[in-house]
Amino acid sequence: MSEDPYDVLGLGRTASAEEIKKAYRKIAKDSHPDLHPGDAAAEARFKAAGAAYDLLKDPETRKRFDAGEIDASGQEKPRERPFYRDYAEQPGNPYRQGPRYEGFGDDNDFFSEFLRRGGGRTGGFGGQGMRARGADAHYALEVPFLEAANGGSMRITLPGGNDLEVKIPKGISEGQVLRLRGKGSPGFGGAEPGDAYVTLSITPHPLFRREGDDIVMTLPVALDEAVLGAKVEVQTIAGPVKVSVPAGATSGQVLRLRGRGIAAAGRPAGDQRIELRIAMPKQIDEDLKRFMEEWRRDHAYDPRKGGQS
Amino acid sequence: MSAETGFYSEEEAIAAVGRLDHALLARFVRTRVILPADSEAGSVYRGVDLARMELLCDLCCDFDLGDEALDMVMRLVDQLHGARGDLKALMRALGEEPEEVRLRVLGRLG
Repeated sequence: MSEDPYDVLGLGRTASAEEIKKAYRKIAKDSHPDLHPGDAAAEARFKAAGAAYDLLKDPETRKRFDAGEIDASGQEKPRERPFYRDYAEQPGNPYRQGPRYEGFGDDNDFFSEFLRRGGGRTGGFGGQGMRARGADAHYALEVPFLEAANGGSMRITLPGGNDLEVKIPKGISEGQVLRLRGKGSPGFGGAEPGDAYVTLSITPHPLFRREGDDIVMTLPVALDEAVLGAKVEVQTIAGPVKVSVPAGATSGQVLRLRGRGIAAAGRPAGDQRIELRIAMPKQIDEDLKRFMEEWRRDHAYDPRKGGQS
Repeated sequence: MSAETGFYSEEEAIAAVGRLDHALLARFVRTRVILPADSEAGSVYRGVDLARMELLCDLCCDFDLGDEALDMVMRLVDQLHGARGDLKALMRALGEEPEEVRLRVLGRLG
């Protein structure tokens, strides 16, 4: 942000600390992205005002700026921060108030949810005595990579010693939230229980990575396998399969096993992509050296030709 | 994000959120504007909690909101975002209906 911080806040150079704070508050109030989620330009205004305020609120940096020792952009890069609005509208947001209509795989509930008012963190007072919906419970669950890919069932041990079964659908994504209806605290005075929100995080796998619904891995192949071709055993998320490495395979070449990626409900199955990496023998022995020296005499080639250097 | 688990411990959350310290986090949890999640490793915070803590820090450091006001503002913020989410869901559902249905609904909206 190279704009003059005084201009950004709409102030003169002689503004007092109190005026600076007031000006910043006004812009922040009008432009905070979390308070004005529909305003696309709010974030830029809010960030500019924040950077200007950071510079001017500290009398020391303000003095240095006024003296020309630092410029508005010479400051530390503003910290990247998450905004609540990026989470707030998601159906899995555990803080969301009131009924939720979608995103939990149960579309028929749309209208019943519409009528299921009075959600949220507190209950209401009914006509006869007090009724209060039970509190929602919040859990965080680490899901091993393969369970996240293939689906499965896990258990959460509750603070009271009981446990809660959590069905993990195939192909969940990092940070996804499952809502288990009625699995929160019991309601009071006959009101319904709260829900349990389970936020999932996927544990990394030593072999596999995920790119969308594709499974990506690197497969080391021996020099002779790369030259002559080979059939090798490769792990997939559903177990080992035999894969043909073509003769003349090279590092970086990608083999694709169609449909062997994640097959989540309602989405076409992903592929498994295998990137080959030629692994040299641990020691280059005399035989290999001699063979290469002879081979090079008549067959030398330049893989860097064509600008690949 | 914590490299180990994808969730944040109290210390990791304080390190990640600019103006947050132990006292402020304790205040957010006590007033239930932040609801930590239970995990095998004890209480942890999620991505949504950290984004919310940033907003809460703005509200109480820049605007000097007290506990009651903070709770009220957050309820309104959550209602606003919830209503926007519902509206988008409704518009998406409507978008998948045949044109005659869409036109009829639009007509009813005046």
